[in-house]
Amino acid sequence: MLAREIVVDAAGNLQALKGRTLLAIVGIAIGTAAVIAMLHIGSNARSEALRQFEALGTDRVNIMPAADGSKVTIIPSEMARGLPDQNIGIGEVAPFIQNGTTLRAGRSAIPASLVAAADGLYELAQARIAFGRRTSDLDGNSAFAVLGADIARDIAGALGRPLAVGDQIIAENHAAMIVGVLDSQPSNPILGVDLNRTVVVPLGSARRFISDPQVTNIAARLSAGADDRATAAAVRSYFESRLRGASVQVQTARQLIDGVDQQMRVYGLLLLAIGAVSLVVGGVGVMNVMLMSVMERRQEIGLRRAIGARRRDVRAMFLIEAVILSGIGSFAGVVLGTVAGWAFAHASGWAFEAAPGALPLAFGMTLVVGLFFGSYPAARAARLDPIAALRSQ
Amino acid sequence: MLQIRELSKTYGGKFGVLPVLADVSLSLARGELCALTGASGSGKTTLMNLIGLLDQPDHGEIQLDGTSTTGLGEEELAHLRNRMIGFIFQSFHLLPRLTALDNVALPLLYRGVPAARRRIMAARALHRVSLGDRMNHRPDQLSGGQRQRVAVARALIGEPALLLADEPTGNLDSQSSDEIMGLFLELNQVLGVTILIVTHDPTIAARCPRRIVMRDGRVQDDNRGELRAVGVVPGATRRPALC
Repeated sequence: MLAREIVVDAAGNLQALKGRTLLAIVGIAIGTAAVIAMLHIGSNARSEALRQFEALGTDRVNIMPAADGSKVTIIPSEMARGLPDQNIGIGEVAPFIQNGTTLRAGRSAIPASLVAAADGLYELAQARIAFGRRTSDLDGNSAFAVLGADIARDIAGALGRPLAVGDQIIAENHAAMIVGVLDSQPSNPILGVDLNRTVVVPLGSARRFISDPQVTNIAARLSAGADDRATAAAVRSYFESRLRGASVQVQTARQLIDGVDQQMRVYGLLLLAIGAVSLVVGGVGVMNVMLMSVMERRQEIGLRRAIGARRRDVRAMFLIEAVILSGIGSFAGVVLGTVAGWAFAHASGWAFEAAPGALPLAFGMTLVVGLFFGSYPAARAARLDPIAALRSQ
Repeated sequence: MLQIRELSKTYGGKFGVLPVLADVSLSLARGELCALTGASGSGKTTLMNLIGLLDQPDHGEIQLDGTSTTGLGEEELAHLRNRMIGFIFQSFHLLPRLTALDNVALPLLYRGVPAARRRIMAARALHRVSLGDRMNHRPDQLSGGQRQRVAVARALIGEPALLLADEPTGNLDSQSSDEIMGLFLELNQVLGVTILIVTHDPTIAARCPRRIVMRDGRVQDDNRGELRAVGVVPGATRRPALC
């Protein structure tokens, strides 16, 4: 009852907002806005990354021979193709060889990545054909090539005409015939290939373009319900038991997601620290305003004590004023931060989604900042001797 | 109503202690209107602060309505101030951002009276001091005399046992002083409010039925009847104002 009345009274006291009060509010608003914007951006970046993984398939696995300096692990492609038969949770595999190269078309030299791949890669990388056809294991060692969207555009630009099936390109001094072109697609962080800048040739023709063709990656898919960690361990022991001294690296979507999460956490903590610093600065501003207010309103404090206010009523009044100040600042900050987060998401082409923790955090920070930085001025006000306060000028 | 027994108070400073009140005893009956006068430094303001429970005596006892105030804690004293005492100050001490009505209603806030009821009671108190038409004016829109009447209404609103007025006319011109003094007399006679007025002004003191004169921390004279020339150092000019 009395508490509510004192809140209303204190709120009324703030009606006459002065310039410096506004500045303190701005300080709090900036601090809160920073924290809130960072929360939104962090949360949106994370969900965007997850969405990307999901679109690309969270069941994708990338197996790579590990190079530990002196020794190079060589995986025969037949052994890679044997993986699904082991019943260790790998459903589909496509070993491929990735190599950097320079394409020549007309007079231009175009840097590209050359991938000699087994058929399964197209499905695993979700690559779609724009026109023509895919390469196939049935092409044997024929020099057929499928171009990624960006490469196709560059070559068409170099030739000065649209590409057609049957055109020739030169890679590593060997001619290859274009049999198809891929649609543009996002790069796949799990498989580690950017098909847009890639020329895909049949695995059997690798020897034409690559001097010592060894499997560099095995793209694979987890079979339904397989546990990715157990499968990764089984895959490692499959190769290590068959190849002496071999070691392979198994990368799953979950590892990448964990990595992104970790990165976001560090990033978020850093941003939170920056926000906290600006909040402290804002809080000191609130404390300053409240101390000035206590000095200016000594007579009022004396009067209130004389007409029956207890020390704690005076303390409560100033604390509430401080909390209201920081509350106004926080509210402005939440609005500002959300707008900033939305603008950032919009500019990055992400879907904006409010971070779930943002509002409770802002609310909590308001209370903590207001109470923490308001408590000293409020205690000073409560300690004033009413007689001296009434006489002060 | 008010009983003071052997009150003494000293203020300690760096250069020794300064006795301000020494063994002051007096009592005030219900319905009395009493002036408390004396030269500066005579201890009348200190006595006033002690009676108003804003300060505590070193020795002695103050009883309000039969309740001893000795040994009470800060919260109990605040409660007693709120219930038993109405303060009127020389410089009014109205809150500038509040209307007359809200200023008057303020003491009830600390009694936990709901806002609507506070306003009704404040309006009634303002009518009683003939300011019913100025309820929504802020202090800076009121004259000095009107401000002091708002302050009187604020002191009255809680129906206190005792009104304590500290130089209530010190900041007012003679006409406003006269009006305020008339208001005190009226409140005293019509409502039977007990009033203690601390004043320098002999004309104000002269209109009170009882006058207490302080000197050097003691009660020099306590006079209910005819006016006497007191507080005047022998040999000095007799002031006509005291007649």
